[in-house]
Amino acid sequence: MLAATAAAINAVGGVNGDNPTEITRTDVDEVVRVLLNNNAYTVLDNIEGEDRFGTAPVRDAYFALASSNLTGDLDAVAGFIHKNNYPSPMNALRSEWGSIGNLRFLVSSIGSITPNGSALGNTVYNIFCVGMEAYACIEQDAYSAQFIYRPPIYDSPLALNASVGYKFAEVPRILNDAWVINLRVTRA
Amino acid sequence: MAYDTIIEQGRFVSTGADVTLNLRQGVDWIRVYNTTALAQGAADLAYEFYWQRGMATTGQLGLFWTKLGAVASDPITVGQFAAGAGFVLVDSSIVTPSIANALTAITAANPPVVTTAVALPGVGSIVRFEDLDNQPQIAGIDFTVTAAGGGTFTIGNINLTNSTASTAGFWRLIPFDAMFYPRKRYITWVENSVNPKVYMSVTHGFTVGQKVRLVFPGGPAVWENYAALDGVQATIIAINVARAGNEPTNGGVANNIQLDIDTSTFGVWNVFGAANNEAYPASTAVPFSPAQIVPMGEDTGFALTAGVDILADATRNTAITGITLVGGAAGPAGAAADIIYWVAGKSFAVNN
Repeated sequence: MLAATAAAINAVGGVNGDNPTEITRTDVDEVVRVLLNNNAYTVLDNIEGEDRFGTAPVRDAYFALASSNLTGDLDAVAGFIHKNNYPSPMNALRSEWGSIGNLRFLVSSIGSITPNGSALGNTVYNIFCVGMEAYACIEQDAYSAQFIYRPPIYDSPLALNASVGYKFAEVPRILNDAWVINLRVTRA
Repeated sequence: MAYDTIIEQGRFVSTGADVTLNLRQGVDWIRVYNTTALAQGAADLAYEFYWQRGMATTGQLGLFWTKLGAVASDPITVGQFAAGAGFVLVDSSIVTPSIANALTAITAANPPVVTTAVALPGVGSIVRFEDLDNQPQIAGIDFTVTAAGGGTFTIGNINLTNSTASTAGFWRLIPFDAMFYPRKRYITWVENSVNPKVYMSVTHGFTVGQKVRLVFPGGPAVWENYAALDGVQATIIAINVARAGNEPTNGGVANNIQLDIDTSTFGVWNVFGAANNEAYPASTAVPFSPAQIVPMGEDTGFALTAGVDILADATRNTAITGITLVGGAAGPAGAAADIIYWVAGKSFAVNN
């Protein structure tokens, strides 16, 4: 839903010759600037600095939802703080990779991509940078999603076959389009 | 009904065009009857069609039975479709582009014409360009095909006059539009006017009363005076208004929306490029972010005044799974005015 409807900014600060380019600090700063100017609240609080080797305080941050293919590129961005360099790594989320400026990056193997979406025909990775309450999933009649497994004894006359399936009745919806920006990037 | 077997059936009157059946659970077999062809006794027409999963490893072949109405006693023959001529499975949530097809030219014109030696995309389909030697500013952007024939196709929703024509590059067919409606679209032209028309590269699908936000990333360095529209909210007060002047020429219904804003002081749109008066940012602007129209809701008051649906902005997942019946007298979707019945199902097990 976000890939189809959210406003997008191409990364333009990189040097890979594509459009969009690979992610750079200037692109992150641009997204943060847009979200701040649109009065988006950050989702996470800051992590206070502590007197520990190799750590750095972490700013309050928006979420940046990205593909796990971008981890190497994120490491190379100026100002990147890996989550194990947080003053208190326990505050990092399981899927978190690190932070740049006011973005904290959560990565997933099913992060959004646009195949052949760049000017040179390369895969474009959609990084959804979201503020507080930028979007929601509306559950119709509290139905939500159900994953249903029925063992063979209940599911077939001779107890031969099990069945598994899912059903859901919910609608994703952007609540405020100004609080979600799709930062489109390619790989370095 | 056997375990895990789901059967659906239906009827439609043919228009002669392809018909896609929305079969949420999927389809393992389908049988189609053209009762108009069956009832007549004057011509040789296919009247029954069948396909089941596994019938072909390339394409979706199928069988058809033809009533030889022009022959005494109306004997029946059976034949097999060529790939893509009878049934085509559909899953519109999969939008993986086609392979890269070489092109040898994109004209610097209004409308731009693309020359390619491979099979042409159909009118109304969506294409994306890449690796263009002289017009990289439109690479990576989706365009609706507005005409096709004679080894060329046209992308009539943009004016590329005064750019440098491309002589090499590639295009890919985008099989389906993005899943969720209403969709973000890329802007290709903004009229210099009170209540301006805004043109987009792909057929927009917006309706009167919807609210949109204009997004012009990059500021005046890319978008000249029109950068002032970045973040501006507007209501759509009309759609597909007749084109004029240098606005994109698609040869049909103009692909624009008219907004309740004022750009009359911005100067004309086509001033991009170094004194070149291009109608889209020049190749030297690359890399940059295309300007966009982003759907953001509905102006309920305006919608009520205009007598249109106040929920037209509702987010909808438009993706489907199903099967396309190819149209025409020889196809399962029939010729215009034919009455078609169909029954389709899922099997308990498929052993191919």
